[in-house]
Amino acid sequence: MGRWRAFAPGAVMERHGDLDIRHDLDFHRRLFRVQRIGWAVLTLFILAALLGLIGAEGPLNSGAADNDELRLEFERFPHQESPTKIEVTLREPARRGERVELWVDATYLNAVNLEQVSPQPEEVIAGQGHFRYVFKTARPGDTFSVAMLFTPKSAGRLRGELRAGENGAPLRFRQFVYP
Amino acid sequence: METVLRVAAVYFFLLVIFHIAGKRSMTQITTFDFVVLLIISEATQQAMIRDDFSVTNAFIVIVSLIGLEITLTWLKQRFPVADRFIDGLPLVLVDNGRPLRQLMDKARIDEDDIMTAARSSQGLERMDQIKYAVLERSGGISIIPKQ
Repeated sequence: MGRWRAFAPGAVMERHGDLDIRHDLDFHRRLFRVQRIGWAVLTLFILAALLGLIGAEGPLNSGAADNDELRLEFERFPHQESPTKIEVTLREPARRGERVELWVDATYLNAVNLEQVSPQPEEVIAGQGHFRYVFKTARPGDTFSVAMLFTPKSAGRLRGELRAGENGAPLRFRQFVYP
Repeated sequence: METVLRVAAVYFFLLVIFHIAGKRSMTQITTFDFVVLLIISEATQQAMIRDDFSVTNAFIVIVSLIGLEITLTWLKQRFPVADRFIDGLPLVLVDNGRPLRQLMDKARIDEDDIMTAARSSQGLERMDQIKYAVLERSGGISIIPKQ
């Protein structure tokens, strides 16, 4: 333990004027500098939070992805065990008749706790590595939106893939879940 | 396992945050600081307990916190460097009636703070009656009056 003394000058009681005190100005100078650095980091953190880099409301948190058939809006940085939602809009080419299908990959669905799909699907079919959500529409040709409400189970990267039915082009998106 | 990690993360985060905020932030006795402390306690509880309201989870959190406390105090005893890092060192702010302005500015303490401590602890009236004023590790200011 004696060799640690080299890193702890001023760790001994010294006489300072009439005071017996463990006094070390160098320590305090370093501490003040560290504090200033800490304040800078705090400011950056608050800035990141305001911009949405850490999740919750903010411009950087609103993610969107689209292809010919689908448009997706999602939160880029959801929080673990906090509700978040993705909104999928099916555009014209995807509209085929009365029934609309949305295929969601199973890995994504297994990584989250799905709470609600609105509107409610008519049926949910388990396929190969995906789930098919089948919706009934009153007026084929209208734009159709599905909102899926869920809570991510754990922190880390989330990769999802959607497609509008069997021959739909895949739409991939990525999220990062903060703990 | 995750609960213990969360508790440790929150514990060390608070340690760092309060160091950055400075010692005075911990011992200010204004109403506003009291409110801030209350809110912080609520926020940390949410992060550690989350939605598991069982007695078992409460025990895990409490034991983890106590365990961390014990580990840190043991570390402080074993390694003086850790002791200084965690607890800090006292700082002389008034030397023989002379207020050390630069240090006071850096520590964000003004003459008012020192005079308040002088009045409440020693019943002194003026700055020149103070021999030493020391900002202690706890964040409080101790006053040595001139004889």
